[in-house]
Amino acid sequence: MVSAGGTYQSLLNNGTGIASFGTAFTYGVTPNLIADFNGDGNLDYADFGTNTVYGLAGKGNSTFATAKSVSVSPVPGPSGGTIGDFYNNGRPAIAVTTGLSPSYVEIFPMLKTTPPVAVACSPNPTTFGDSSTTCTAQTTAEQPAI
Amino acid sequence: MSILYDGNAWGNGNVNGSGAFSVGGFGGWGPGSHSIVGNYAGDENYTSASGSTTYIIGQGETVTQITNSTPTPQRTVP
Repeated sequence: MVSAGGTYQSLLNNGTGIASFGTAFTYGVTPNLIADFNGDGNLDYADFGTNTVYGLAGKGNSTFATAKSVSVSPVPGPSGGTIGDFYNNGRPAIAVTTGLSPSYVEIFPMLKTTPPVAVACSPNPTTFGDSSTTCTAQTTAEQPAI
Repeated sequence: MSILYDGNAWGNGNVNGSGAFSVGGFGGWGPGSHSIVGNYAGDENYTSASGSTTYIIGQGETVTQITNSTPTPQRTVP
């Protein structure tokens, strides 16, 4: 990732040491947070704006989804940040500090994943519902250890 | 996770270790199509999400019962 005048652009390595340019975009002021924040296997990008942290989900092809933003509170906004497994769940989160004195630290996942939810009922199909009818909703979201 | 039928709350609770939550017990729904929706509230890693299915309850068989009645003895006029 390279920056010039607030515009950021990814450089693609084609395997021969020759890089080509990805899509340019403009966000925030500090391009220094890159990790797979949403756990989809693609690197994502985060940086800071006024009272805001922006997150752009990488698509794995040098392009990014529409930015999501998280407001940092209390103001003034983020003055720095770092990446770490702060939830101890194997996934990167972001800790940001504000310009307050003493500084306020806020930790949050930058890009949340939307899990699928499947619903099924049994018996199905039925000719006549009865007390044995059961419906189950299932999600692939990580569950706490039992 | 919460489960609704036809927009009405049916049950809610924590998902199990497999990420599933079930609710049972027939609610006395009538024949026809019924919407079953599962709503996941989300957590620090996941956004809220929902899924749905349509549960079709057919019309039960109509049973017609015919009962013989004991004929009333008739008085015969000679």
